[in-house]
Amino acid sequence: MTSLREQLKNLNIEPGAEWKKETRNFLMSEVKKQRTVTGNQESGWLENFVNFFKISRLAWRPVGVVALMAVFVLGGSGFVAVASRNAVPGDKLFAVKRAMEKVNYFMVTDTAHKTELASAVLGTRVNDLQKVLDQETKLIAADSQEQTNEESIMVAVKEVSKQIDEVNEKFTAMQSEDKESGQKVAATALDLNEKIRSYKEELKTVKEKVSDSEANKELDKVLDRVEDINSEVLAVLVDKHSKGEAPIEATDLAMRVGEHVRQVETKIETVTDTVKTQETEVKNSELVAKMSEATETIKKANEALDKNEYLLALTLAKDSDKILEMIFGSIYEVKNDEGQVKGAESEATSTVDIVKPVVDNETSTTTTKNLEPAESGQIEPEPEEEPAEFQVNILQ
Amino acid sequence: MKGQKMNKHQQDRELRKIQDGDEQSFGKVYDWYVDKIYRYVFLKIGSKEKVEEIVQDVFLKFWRFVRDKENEVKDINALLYSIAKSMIADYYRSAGENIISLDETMMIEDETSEEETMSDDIDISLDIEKVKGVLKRMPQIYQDVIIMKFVEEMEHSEIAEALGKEEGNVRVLAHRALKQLRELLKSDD
Repeated sequence: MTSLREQLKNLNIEPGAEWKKETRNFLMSEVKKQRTVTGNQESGWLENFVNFFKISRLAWRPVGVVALMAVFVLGGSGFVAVASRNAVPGDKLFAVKRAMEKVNYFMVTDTAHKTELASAVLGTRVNDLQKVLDQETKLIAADSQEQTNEESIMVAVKEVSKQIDEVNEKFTAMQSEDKESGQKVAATALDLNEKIRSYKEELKTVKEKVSDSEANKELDKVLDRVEDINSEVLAVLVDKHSKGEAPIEATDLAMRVGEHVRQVETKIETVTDTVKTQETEVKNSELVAKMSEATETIKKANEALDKNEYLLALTLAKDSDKILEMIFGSIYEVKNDEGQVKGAESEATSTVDIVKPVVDNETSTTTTKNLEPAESGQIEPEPEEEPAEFQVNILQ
Repeated sequence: MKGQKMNKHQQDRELRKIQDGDEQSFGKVYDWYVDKIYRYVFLKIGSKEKVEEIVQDVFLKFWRFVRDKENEVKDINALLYSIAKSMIADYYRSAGENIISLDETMMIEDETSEEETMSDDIDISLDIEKVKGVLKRMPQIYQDVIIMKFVEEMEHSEIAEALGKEEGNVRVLAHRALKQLRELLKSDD
C-alpha cells in the first residue's frame, strides 16, 4: 500500500532539455520581433514622448519633472530628448541620451533599484554597440561613398566598458547598504547574474563580427571585466541562498557557479596552450609550476562544487584566475628581459601579438591575453613593474 | 522547481519589466514556469507535439497579454494557468472531443471537507499513462485540481486564483477529485 498523494507528487514529468532550450530561443526571438514592431508602430513623436515619460517613471514625481525640464532645456527642447533615444555612441545626441539615463539615478533612492537601472543601461549600451556595428557593416556591404568610421565601434565598446564600471559601482554600493533587505539584494543579484549571462552572449556575437583588432582587444577586456563582476554577484547570491533569502534552487545555483568555474577552466586550457606555443626561454620552471598551481586550484574548485560548497568554489576559481594573471606577468617580464617589447617595435609585434598564440587576430575567437602595446618609441618597461594591463578573453 | 514560485516582490518586478518590453524578464518567467505549465498541459492532452505547441503558445499569449497596458496582471502563476486552461478547452473544441463538465454547485453544496481524514493509501502503483488515462475520464475541474494540488503542490489560495474560485470551494473540489481518482483507479485495476 502506498500513498496516492505521494505517488502523484512523484510523477516524473518534465519537458526535454533540448525542446525547452529551442522553445526558449524561439520565444525570445518572437518577443524581440514583436517589441520592435510595437516600437515602430508607436514611433509618433507624441507616443515616444509619452512612453519615454512612462519608462522614466518620472511623470508623477515633481522632482522628476523639474530634472527632466532641466535636461530638456540643456538639450534645446523635449524633442531633442526624444530624438536622442535612438542615438548611439559617436552621435551628437548621444550625450543627451546619457544625460537622460543619469537623471533616472537621481530619481531613485534605493541602491537595489539603482543597480537594476545600471544593468538595464548596460543592456542599452550593448544594443548601441550592435547598432553601430550593423551601421558599419551596411556601409561596407553597400560599398557606400560615405566614409565608414572604425573609431565609432571603438567608442561604442568603450561606452560598454564605462557602463560595466557603473554597474559594479552600484552593485558594490548596494551590498554595503545595510537598509536593503537580504531578499531584495538577493533578487537583484539574481537579476544581475541573468542579465550578465545574456549580455556576455551578445558581446561574444558582436566580437565575432568585429574585425578591428583594437576594438576586438577592448571587447576582450570588457568580457573579462563582466566575468569578474559575475563572480562577485554569484558570491552574494550564494551567501543569500545560505540564509534562505535567495529565490533560487540549489541546483540552479550550482549550475550558475559551475558555469563560472568552467569559464576559468577554459581560460586555463587556453593559457596552457599559450605557454606551450611560447619560445623555449619563456617556458621556465616557474611558469610551469604556476600553471600547475592554477590547474590544481581550479580542480579544487570543482571538488568544492561537487560538495555543494559554492562559496569555496568561487574563491578557488578567483584564486586560479589570479594565478593566471601572474603567469601573464611572468611572460611579460621574460619577454621584456629578452628585449622583445621594446618600444621601437611595430604594432604587429607588440606584446599583444607576442602573447597571443592565435595566428589571425582579426577573426579569432579563441582565448587571448592582451597587454597594452608599448607606445612607439618611448617604452622601456620597468622589469619589476606589473604590466599596464593584461586580460584573458574567455570566449568559449 | 516543483512547489517553487516567485515571491510577490519578484513577480511585481518582472511584470513591470515585461510591460516595459524587457524580454530578459520574459525569459526569466519562462524559466520559472515552463516545467509547471508543461506538466499541466501534458496531463490533459494526448499528443506530445500538441502539448509542446500549446505550451509555446501559452507563453506567447502571456507576453502579449502583459504587454497590453490595458490589462492588469496580479499573479503570473494564475495568468499562465488560465491561459493554458483556455487553450486546452479550445483544443478540445476544435478537435470535436467532448469534455466532461461538472455541475459544481451540486457538488459543492453542503459539502464538508473530509480531505484531511480520508485514507490516502492505495494498492496500485501509478505511472504517467495510467494517471493520464484516468484523468481523461474526470471532469475538467477535477483534473485541474488534481494536477495543481497533488502534482504541483500548489496552495489552495493559488489554485483558487488560477481557477477563479473561492478557496473553500477548492478545498472541497480537491477532496472530491481525489476520491473519484481513487475510485477510477480501483475500478480499472
